[in-house]
This record gives sequence, structure tokens and C-alpha cells, in this order.
Amino acid sequence: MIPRETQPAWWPWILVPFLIGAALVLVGAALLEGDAAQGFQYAL
Amino acid sequence: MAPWTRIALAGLTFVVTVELGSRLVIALDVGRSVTESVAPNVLTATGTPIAEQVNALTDTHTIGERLHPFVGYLPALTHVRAEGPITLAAQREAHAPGSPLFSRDPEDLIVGIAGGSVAYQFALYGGGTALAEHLAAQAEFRGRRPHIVVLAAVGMKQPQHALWLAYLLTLGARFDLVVSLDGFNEVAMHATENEPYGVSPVYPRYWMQRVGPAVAAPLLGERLYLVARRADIVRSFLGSPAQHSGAAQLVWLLRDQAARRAIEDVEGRLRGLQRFEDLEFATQGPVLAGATQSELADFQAAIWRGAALQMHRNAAANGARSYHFLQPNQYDPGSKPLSASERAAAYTAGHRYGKHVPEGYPRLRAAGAELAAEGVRFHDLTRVFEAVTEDLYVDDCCHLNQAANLRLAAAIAEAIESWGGR
Repeated sequence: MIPRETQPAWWPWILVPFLIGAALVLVGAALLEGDAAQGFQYAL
Repeated sequence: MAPWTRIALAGLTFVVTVELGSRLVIALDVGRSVTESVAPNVLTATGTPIAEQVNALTDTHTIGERLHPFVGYLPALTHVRAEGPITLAAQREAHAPGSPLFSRDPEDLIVGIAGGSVAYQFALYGGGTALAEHLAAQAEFRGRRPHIVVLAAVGMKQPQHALWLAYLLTLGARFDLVVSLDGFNEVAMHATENEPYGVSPVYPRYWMQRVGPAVAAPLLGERLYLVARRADIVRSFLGSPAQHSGAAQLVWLLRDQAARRAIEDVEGRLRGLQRFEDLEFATQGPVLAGATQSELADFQAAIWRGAALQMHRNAAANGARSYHFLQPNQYDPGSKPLSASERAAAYTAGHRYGKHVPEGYPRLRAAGAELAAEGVRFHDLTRVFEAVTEDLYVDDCCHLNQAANLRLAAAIAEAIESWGGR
């Protein structure tokens, strides 16, 4: 059995995917325009 | 923790973060259900009638006229019947066997009449028949049978008459005399009918309205394709279980946004067609970029002058004599004492056509003097009603009544006689 103090920490397994996921969402939010939900404009 | 536990924990954290984060973004940005309100809305809104967009580029002024490969356009003339000595060159009958237009009988005297609506009405409403009678009475044409062939059409302006003549001569048409009665359309129509679209003064009137739908067709097709693609994206999204995922909704919103941007881009280019500045030369024709009003008026006079000169040369080379008459107009100062009823019915201060006459007509008179010096049979008719007080003008454009047409016929016949056989 590995001594307790030499075991890899578990929190990076939460922090790293959280940061990646949050970064992806932030990128998406940045790309999304304020009027993203608008329908169609009948313009000419 | 066991390795699989760590991996599962990492995956779960990622999914929950992305899912909850996406839902938060959508709630803040969109504020309503993407799957229930936004996406179906896009789907139902994609059936824009393209015809509406084509209609926006067309114009009722060109109804009754057909694009012509060499003359710009010709009137359809489906309900017009030519009588007496009159033949309409734009009708089928003029091109049928036995038509005076292709006569080789030396006793026939074929007189073409070219110009815009004033010349057209002159030829059909009294002037054509009167001119035929005047000419038949002249010594030079005694024993000849005058035929009036009408080249003139509503809204025509030079160089259309010159090219119409060249086209008919190419087909083997015969003319003995070609009478042009024009000048007004050449200076009056451009500012309202072609200039707003960046189209050359050389081109036929309402050119953008005639060719706009054809020019716009590729863009309308591109737009139609992009609209269909946007609809495909939303259909595949709404048909998938992933539509319930916040992350999938965010991804769809981004894809829809890109599709919408592409459509907006092509719609922007369609709107750009309302002005022709960035269009190809073939559609726009020669324009004077940044020209002053004075320079533009000079250009219009030069077009008229060049067309008159080419008609003269072309007629001479084909055994005909060309006569060029500058038409009278009520907006030409000093040209006619207008009666009270004419002032009410036939004169509008600042009229969209008439306001260009005081600047344009002096240039045409000067160009006419140059033409005469070059041997063109030019005659200025702008003072023909100078002392006539009776009503002659029937509308606030330029058009004349039958009494005026009879006066014009006499003046034209007299001018032709004054030149003799020259």
C-alpha cells in the first residue's frame, strides 16, 4: 500500500476538467451575439 | 481513488460544467427556451418569398416594354393599330412581305420618324399623315407615295434611334428620309431614371429596373441555398435527442448564428444592387464619376450630338437623307407663351423632367449648330411655337395636341423643302 502522503491528489481531476469545460463555455458565450435568438429578417 | 474513479470524476465534472455553463449562458443571452421557441421560429421563418425581392427591383414603368437585343427595349404595341400611310417598325406587320419598310419600288417614299413619345404621338396623331401630304405636294417628291415608318417609341432616347436605324438597315430596310424629332428625353430623364442607380446616361431609361432582376438572380439563388441550409441545421437539431442538452443548444445557436450571418451577407450584397457603383461595366455603362451637373449636361449633349452625326452618316451611306429636329418644350424659356389652361395643366415648376431643360437645351442648340457645320441637316424647332398663343401642350411633361402636331408637320416639311435635294 502506498503511504497516504505519496498518493496523487484527487482535486486536479475535478479542477482541470472544470477549467476546460468553463473555458469552452466562455468561448461559446463570447462568440454568441446578443441577438443570437432572432429569427429571420425579410430584408432587401 | 482507483484510476477509473478519477477518470469518471473528471468526465462528470467536465459534462456538468459544460452543461450548466451552457444553460447559464443561454438563460442570460436568450432568456427563453431554445428548443421550444427559438429554433421552431427559425424553421417557420425560412420560407421567404423570393418573388417579393425580385419585385423590389422591378418597376411598373417598364410594363409594356420588352428587352431588345440591339435597341435596349421596344414597346410591345399589342393594342396599337397603324392606319393610312403609317407603319410601326416595332410591329410584326412592318416586317411582313409587302411592308413599305422593305419596298424596292422607286415610287414609294419611305420616311422614318425617330424619337421618343413626342415623336411617336406626332407620327400617330395627325403629324405623320400631314407630313406625308406635305411631302407629296413638294416638287421633289411629286408622284411618289409617302409611307411613314415609325421608329419612335415612348421613352426612347439617343443613341437608341441611331442603333434602331442601324439595326433596321442591317435587316435590309429602306429609308429615303429619316426624320428625328428629339432632344427632350436626352436631357430630362437621366436624373430620375438612371442616375439614382449609378447607370450611364447613354443607357436606355430605367435600365436598372430592366436588368436588375437578372443581375440579382445569382445572389437570390445563393440566398435561397443559404436559407435552405439554415433550415436543415435547425431540422436536424430539433430531430435529435441532443436538443434537450444546454451544450447542444449552445452549439446549435452558434451554428445558426453563422448561417444567419451568411444570409445577411448575401442580403447586404443584394441591397448593394440598389446602387450600381460596384457593378460590372456592362451593367453600368460609361459614367462620369464625381462629375458636376454641368459636366453631366455636357455629356448628355455629346451623346445626342454623336447619335445625330452617326444617323446622318449611316443614312447617307445607305442612300437616305437624315433630318434632325430639336423638339420644342414648354420648360425651354421663351419657347411659347403658355395660356392660362396650359399653365394649369401643362406646367409644373420644378418638374422632375422639365427642370433639366434650361440647362440642357442651350447645349443641344450649340451641339446642333456644330452638327450643321458638319453637314448634318439640323433644324432647331424649339422656337416653332414662339408666337403661338393657342393651347398646344397637353401635360406637364412635354406632350402635344393634334394642332401642335399639324404645326410641327408643316415646319418639318418646310425645312425638308428648304434643303432641296441636298
